[in-house]
Amino acid sequence: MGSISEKYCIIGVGHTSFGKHPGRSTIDLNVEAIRNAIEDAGIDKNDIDAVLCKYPTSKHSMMYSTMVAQAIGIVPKVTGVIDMGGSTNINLIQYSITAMELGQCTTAVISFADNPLTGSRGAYTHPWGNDGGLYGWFGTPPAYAMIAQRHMELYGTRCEDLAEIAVAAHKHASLNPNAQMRKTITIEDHQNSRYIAKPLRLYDCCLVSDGGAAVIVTSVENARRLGIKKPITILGLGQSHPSWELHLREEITISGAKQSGEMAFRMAGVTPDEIDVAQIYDCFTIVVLITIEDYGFCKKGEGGEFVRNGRIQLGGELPINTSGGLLSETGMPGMQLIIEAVRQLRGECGERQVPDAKLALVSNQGGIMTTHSTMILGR
Amino acid sequence: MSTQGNIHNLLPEINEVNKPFYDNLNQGKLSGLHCKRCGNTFLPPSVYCPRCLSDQLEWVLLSGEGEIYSWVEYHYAYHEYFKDKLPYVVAIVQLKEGPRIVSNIVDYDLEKLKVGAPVKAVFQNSIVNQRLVQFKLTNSI
Repeated sequence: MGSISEKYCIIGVGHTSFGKHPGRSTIDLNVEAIRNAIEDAGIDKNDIDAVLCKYPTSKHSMMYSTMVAQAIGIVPKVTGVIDMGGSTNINLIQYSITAMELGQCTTAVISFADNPLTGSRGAYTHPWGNDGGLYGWFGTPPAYAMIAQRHMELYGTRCEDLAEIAVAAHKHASLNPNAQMRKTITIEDHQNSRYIAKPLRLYDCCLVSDGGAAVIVTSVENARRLGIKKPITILGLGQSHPSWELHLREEITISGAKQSGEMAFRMAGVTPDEIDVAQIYDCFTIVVLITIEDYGFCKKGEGGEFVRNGRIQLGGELPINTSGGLLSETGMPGMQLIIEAVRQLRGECGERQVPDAKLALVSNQGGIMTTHSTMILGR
Repeated sequence: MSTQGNIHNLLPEINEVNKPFYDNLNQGKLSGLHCKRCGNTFLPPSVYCPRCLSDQLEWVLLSGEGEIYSWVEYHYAYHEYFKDKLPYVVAIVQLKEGPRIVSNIVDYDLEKLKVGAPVKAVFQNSIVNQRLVQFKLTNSI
């Protein structure tokens, strides 16, 4: 099979506002995001022949994507819901390309919406494993704290290093009119915030948000036919999925980013030092640090040093999460990182634009570094 | 924001595969499954060895000795029962015989909680009628 790199592209992106959407269904939020993505692409609704969704984390329901397709009035040739947690959005893009290669469809919308802020947060507070409840082993933040603690002890990573990641995210969000939280913070604010699960503090944790987001994918050839002005090319894709239960993983300070990144960089034929801007899944600060190590931006254990002194801020060597990411733009899992990468490459980001960005990297991950996917985009 | 208050929600689901593990705990014994085909000793209980997929398994007693693989100190209770126990420590314990389990370090000195610190099993606490296996730092026993 010939290389798929540079054969497919993202032609439209759209989302709802991020924050509270009391009383609105996730179907409704999906439709708004898809409508905005169609408008952004400037195509006709009927150009879409595939509808792929990540189901809402807060409430599982069967064959969810068929409900979304119905709500946007499309009878799709290809549809489905894939569940890889927060890594799903990039994985659905991969699946849409597979279906296009098979000749089953030509243009796919990939969408996600959820309402954990005004709805249920049960998915994030359950006990782990069969008997985690006996030992008080509950919740998402403590599981990431378990990873952070080991990283700190093995490599000397400091709490202040994690603070650098939060400070950068909040600074970037202050320049993003779409961000749910636009307040800047300092290292001291981070250090003074309360422990959620030691060693992680409040500002190490992402926001909780209602909202929806969608992207439209087609072939470069079809994009030309549709007259798309700024298609953003998909250069590399990867995925890797370490384990369900955290403690059964060989080494918890290594994530799926290692294999997934290798796959994506190999397919794209580029190296980490060529990346102009990175959108790294940041449900917790420690995830950014581990992901950049595993992607090869620095050696294992040197992530703490890498993020110091504003290096990952706008104007730094590698601007990370230029929209504010999950920490400050929206807690919605992952699609908005793809959208920000597209906007950076289109040059639409105003005050937060990375000058002349040509290559962007996006990571998505789910669970407790349980799943991982990577995408490299160019123009 | 604690989502649950019923103490019975904390209990594991007992089935014929894992029942010996929890029965042994109630006798103050820690046990694991040993694969007669490949020699793997593992937890959690399963019908098949996750290494070689054999179902020729036997229960063996474990020493309860191990070391801390990583740990976290809780400052927020996700369940009513743990509210008056804050702060408490959950750790991944690497057992000498191979399996890793998630449990608590009890009666701990925060300064001495370290990755690699040796620990030993204790069976002093129960929830409803289920005894727990928890750990103490070896040098504090």
